[in-house]
Amino acid sequence: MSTLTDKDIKALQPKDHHYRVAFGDGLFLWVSSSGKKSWQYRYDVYLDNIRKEKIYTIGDFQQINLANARELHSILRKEVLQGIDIQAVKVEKKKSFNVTADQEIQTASAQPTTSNRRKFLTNMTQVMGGVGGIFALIPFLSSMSPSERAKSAGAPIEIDVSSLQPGSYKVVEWRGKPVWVVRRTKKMIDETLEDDDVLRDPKSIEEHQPTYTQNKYRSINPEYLVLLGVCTHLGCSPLYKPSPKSKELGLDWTGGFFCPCHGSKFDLSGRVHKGVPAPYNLEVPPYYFASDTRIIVGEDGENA
Amino acid sequence: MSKFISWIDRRLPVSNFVRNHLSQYYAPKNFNFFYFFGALAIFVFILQIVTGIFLTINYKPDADQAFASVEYIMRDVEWGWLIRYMHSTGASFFFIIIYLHMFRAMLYGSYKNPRELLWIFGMLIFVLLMAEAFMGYLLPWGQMSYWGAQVIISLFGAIPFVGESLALWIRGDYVISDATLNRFFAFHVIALPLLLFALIYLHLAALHTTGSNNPDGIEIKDNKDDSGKPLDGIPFHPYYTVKDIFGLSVFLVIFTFVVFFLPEFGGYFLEKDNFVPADPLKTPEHIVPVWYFTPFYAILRAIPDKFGGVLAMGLAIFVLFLLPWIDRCKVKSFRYRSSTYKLLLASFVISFIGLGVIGMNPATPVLTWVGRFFTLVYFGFFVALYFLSPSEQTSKVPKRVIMHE
Repeated sequence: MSTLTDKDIKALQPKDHHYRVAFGDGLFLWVSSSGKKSWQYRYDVYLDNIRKEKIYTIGDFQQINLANARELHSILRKEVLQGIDIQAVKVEKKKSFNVTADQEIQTASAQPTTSNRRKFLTNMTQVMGGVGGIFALIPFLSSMSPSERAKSAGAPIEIDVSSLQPGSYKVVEWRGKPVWVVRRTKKMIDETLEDDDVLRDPKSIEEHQPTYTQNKYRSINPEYLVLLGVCTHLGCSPLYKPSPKSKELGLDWTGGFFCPCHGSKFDLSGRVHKGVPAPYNLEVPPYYFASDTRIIVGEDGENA
Repeated sequence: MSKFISWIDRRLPVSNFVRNHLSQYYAPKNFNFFYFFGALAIFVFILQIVTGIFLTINYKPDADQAFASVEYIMRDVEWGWLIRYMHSTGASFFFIIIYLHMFRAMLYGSYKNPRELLWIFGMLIFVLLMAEAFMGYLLPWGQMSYWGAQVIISLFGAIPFVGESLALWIRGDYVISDATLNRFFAFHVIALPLLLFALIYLHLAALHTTGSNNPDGIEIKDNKDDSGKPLDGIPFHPYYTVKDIFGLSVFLVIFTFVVFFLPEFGGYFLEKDNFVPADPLKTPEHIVPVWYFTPFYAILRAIPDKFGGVLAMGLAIFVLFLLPWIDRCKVKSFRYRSSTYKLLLASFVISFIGLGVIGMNPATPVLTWVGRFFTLVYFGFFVALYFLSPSEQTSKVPKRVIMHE
């Protein structure tokens, strides 16, 4: 029995004729005359009580070193002792797994349709999986939209303006936003201009009010101004600055609304000034007068 | 012990990891003051996670209870005030550290080839960090929380066509409400921290692939000894672990001083209006974001057009992502670059700080014009850099790093 190491095996030279080196229990190294070295397992099978010697090729020495060969050999030996036909198993394995790379390439070139079919199926599975994944996002993204409860919370409200003095104003909440009601003084009504150089949209052409308030007062009744107190720039709530010529807003200030966030200015009808960040006039919500002093905000009433 | 270690190593290569990333990870030997901030950022990130977990134990993400629950933490929870102040001060210090960390990259050209991806991961971390801070600021449900969120979410409304529905989708209601608070809480405590964690991992993985840049902007991997160690490199552990521990100690002295004596920092870290519960019907007289957003906020205000302002603000951040390709000069460190570049960089820094100061103040006509000027300088830096950097007169870069004894 040989005591060669991997190094020694590597150094083995070919002879005129092939030869074998035994490693015990049927494990052999077979050296061909061309120098190719491979591992073999010689074992016995009994067919009708007649002993027959068989040779199983484990593999090339280039890929399998001594330790690995011994390991594979011991597995095979156990299988033989259990009565398994290892030769048959090997053939079966080759068939089903295309064990060697060479064989795989051969199969691929021999059966191009199978390969294309496989490629197509793989791609389709990936694409469909991706599509499915995108659709799976829908419930998650939709769950972030306003809920039914939030949507139904926008019912109309009633504002009583009987106690409002001329020149003063009132803030009420509607749909979570501030709604202003300003009672204009006689002077304010008289000084409201049809057109002014400092205004961006004096005629309220852009639709940020119901049609029945598309006038210079932007109101149904000039005495009462109803506005959504939300700056059209970034949603701050502007401040009511009715007195003209303020220290803060300059000598040309004629009264109106001033947004403290980014300095947008609006006149006393909520019309936006030029050269400020807010792009539109302040929004007028839908409303109507239920009586002289009761305003319903959130519905058009008979105006529409 | 060694048997135990080898038992572990056969199952998980821990020793290998320690060797590759600490004891035999070579970092340039000439790191200076600016190289403290990466490690400090990781420390503050962990601090925010830990203090954040303990805050969620007592905080209630409900519009009716949020403000009161924060006050409860401040007054009734044992040591609650300390944990809350560490978290709020930690947020501001996080940005101080990140801004200095980014400035370091600009000084020494750390974003340049081969570290572009490292820079992009860093920028993504910066953007996520801004989102994280913004959402966290809504949670106390004070006046500034409420109106700050109102302004920022309305920014999305300025996007043509889809803007209004996008803003509605983000809020989950027609106004900032309980729905908004609840989702911001979810994003702030789990979604964004997870993303941040992943990005920090990638940032570090990219760093350890290319290795650190250094104040001379020389690749230390170009000069190796016979055993393959960089001649100008020293093992991260113990050299830089000890250096970072020293840096951390100094940082903690300053940090704890602020936590104990100036937690509101004169209204800059915690704004005065935020001690008033949110009121949807009354805008505070003067809305300002927290200081770390003010440079970008000033750019927003400088443009007298809603969408234009939003665009300019977005661009001010986005342009930083492109810096590795805008700066076409081969020399990395400012030490060996032209005086024109130094002047440009200085004006960029001044404009950034200037915008920050303007953003904190009310929008008077004079300040708006100064803001416009600085906005011009801010963007001008990138334009000038793009055109001037390829033909820049640089001085000779040394072969080896220079130690300043």
